Amino acid sequence: MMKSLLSIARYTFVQQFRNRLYLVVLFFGALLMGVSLLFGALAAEQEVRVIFDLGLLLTELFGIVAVLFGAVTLVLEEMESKTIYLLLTRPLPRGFYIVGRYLGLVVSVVISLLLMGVIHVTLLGIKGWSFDPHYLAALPFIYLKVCVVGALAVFFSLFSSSAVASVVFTLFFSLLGHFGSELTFLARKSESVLSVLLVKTIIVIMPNFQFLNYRDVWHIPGSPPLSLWVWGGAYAVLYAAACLSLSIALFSRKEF
Amino acid sequence: MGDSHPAILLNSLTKVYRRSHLGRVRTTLGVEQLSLTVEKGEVFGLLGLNGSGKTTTIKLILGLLFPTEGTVDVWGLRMPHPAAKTKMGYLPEMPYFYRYLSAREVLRFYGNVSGLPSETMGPRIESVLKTVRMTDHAHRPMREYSKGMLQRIGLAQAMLHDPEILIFDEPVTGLDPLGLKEMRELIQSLNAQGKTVFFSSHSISEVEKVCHRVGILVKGRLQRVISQSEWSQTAGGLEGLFVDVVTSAGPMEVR
Repeated sequence: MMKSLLSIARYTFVQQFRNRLYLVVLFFGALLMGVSLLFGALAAEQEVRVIFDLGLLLTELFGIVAVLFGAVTLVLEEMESKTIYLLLTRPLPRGFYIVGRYLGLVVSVVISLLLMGVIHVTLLGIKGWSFDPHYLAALPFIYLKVCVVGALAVFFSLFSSSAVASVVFTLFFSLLGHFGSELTFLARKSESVLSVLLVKTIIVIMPNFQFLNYRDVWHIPGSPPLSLWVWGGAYAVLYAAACLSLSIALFSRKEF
Repeated sequence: MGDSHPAILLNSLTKVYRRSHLGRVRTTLGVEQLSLTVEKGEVFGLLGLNGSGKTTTIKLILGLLFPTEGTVDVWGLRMPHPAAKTKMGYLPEMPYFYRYLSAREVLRFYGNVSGLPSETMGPRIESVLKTVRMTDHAHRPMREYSKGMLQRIGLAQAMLHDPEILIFDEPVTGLDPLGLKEMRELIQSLNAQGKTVFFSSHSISEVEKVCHRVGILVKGRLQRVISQSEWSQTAGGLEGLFVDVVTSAGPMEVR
């Protein structure tokens, strides 16, 4: 069974790298890196700092966009092209199919982000940047965010059956996920029981990316603290697992 | 899973499609109270007009659709049972493949998913490619393939894991006379190896040449099962019997 899962993941990985749209996105990411150079030049003495910050931001944005569009079309595309028929008539549990596709996608996106990181570090090196270990600590948190957004997008793609609606729902959830503390503040300030209940439900359902925001603790000496690694990692894994479990439940009931 | 069980057993199988739009639920009958037994080593043809429920029946057997009522057993295992799926090979009416992969890559992928051991994978892939005469083209990406070539790779993937039951959905549709002859010979060769073949078709003349028994579906109901000896002793042959069954079932609706 593990062989089947790895085959699905490997095929998804190959598919992502042979997909021209994916290369366009990769090119787009490289182009944005060029834009960061332009911004860097405009920032005079703070050039390295601007390239550093902008590069990390773009890496995260690129990763989220790549995983979002990849995940939304991951199963829908196979359903529409009917390639899924030949897979599901084989002794492959449907859950393995979903997990294999997801793993293949996430690995391909993370590898592309690593390539982006290499471009970024090279740019920084050219500009005289002296290596900062914070950089290496920041990247895994971006990858964890990518894992969460990918799992969320897979769920919505099976829940809504429309690619556009899936993108909108995932973006909405992902954006709200960055406002966890604001929502908590809102819940505390609200006097209506119904509003409090609603906001608290939203807080539980939405991905809480504050667990994965390394920039919030960047300035603390000795960061990242162990608790951020542990909680961040555990949260991302559990949230992604919950999304995938729901996706498998939906997919198991689908007819073709 | 043993010889005491029939290859395929459909028991009072009913499928009703439900589609809801803006709160309105529309139901369409796929098949109704379909009971049928296909024995090991048999070539069974499912005949019917467009929309009679042939593809629905095949998808129910394969576990792509879930029955509204009734059951499907393959070698005594309730579908969709993974162990039963290892014994089945499926050729859809129009096989769709991953455009970016070559035929060899696709076959290796399906081989892995079917649980084919690594040591037999390579020889098995080459063997099925040779059977469908695609060895020389197997390195090319599948987006470059013609419809006929895709059909051949469709057959190759269906036979890849050496299944005991082969299920073909309209395998002769769109084939030229040479393709028809090849398909007929392939079905006969598979049957000679002891395989059970279940396929749907419009083509009475092809069904007549290769099947041991034929089931006639009309408006989702299995109206009659006819054996080779029956149609060979009837003046009008299988075509005459088919027309009788379809017309006696009442006027056709456009579906």
